[in-house]
Amino acid sequence: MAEELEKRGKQTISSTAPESIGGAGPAFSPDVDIYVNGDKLLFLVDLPGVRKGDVSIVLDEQENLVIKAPTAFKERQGTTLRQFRTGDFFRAFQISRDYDKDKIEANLDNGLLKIVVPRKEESKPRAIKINA
Amino acid sequence: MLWGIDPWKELERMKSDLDGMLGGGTGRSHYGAPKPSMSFPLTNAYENKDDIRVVAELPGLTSDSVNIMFNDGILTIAGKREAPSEVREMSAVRRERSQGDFEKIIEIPVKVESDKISASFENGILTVVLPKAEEAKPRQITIEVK
Repeated sequence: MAEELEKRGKQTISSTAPESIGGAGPAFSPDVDIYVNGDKLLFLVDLPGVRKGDVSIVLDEQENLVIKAPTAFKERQGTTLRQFRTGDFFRAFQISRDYDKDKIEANLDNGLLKIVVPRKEESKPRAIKINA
Repeated sequence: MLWGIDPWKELERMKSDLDGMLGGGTGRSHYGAPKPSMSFPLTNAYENKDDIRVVAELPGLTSDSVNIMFNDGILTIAGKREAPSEVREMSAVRRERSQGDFEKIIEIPVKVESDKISASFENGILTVVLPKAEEAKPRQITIEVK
């Protein structure tokens, strides 16, 4: 289904390393949920502070799904409590051939990115009739 | 700070001690690093001479799904983050996002004008502005040199 690229070793992600986003500050790994059914894969990606239109979702040369998103949140002076740091988001996944990567749909609402990757028609589960 | 112990730093220190014991760290992880354990939502606070700003990451939530209360120097941000309806018929293959009820309690160690607290939501980030009470603001005292 969807295999995370960072688990496949550093070499695989070197072409899309976080530094290549723009070089400004560190890149962070957003929290992701992935759901699946017979029709599709659904990714839910937490991108707090990211504006609509700033997210970049690309399929790289190996057809990996690469998500990059710069934050629009401006850090302030006078920090008294710090649980999060701000920077750009980066995450990449490898998706199996059973899914149609030409029909990926995505939308961002209130800092939550949803990506739907439909399953190819020929890969959808079929009920097989058993002849009596 | 006016007093010897900065209560926020103290709370942070206790929290990081606790996180250390539980095997977590502080803040969001860097790309590829292990995920730290910290209660949702991750929150920062900033102070200047006029106000205190509490900023919480609440992606996917809207202003009407979050409750903000201030009572006796304690700011509470509470609500519920639910999975979107379309996942009900689906199987989870990866679950990293916090879900369910949450309650974040932040101690504000400065007197604030509680009737002037305001909040705004932008791109999944909540900002609560707590204006300082006049008596808590720094004052410049001019000493006349004779």
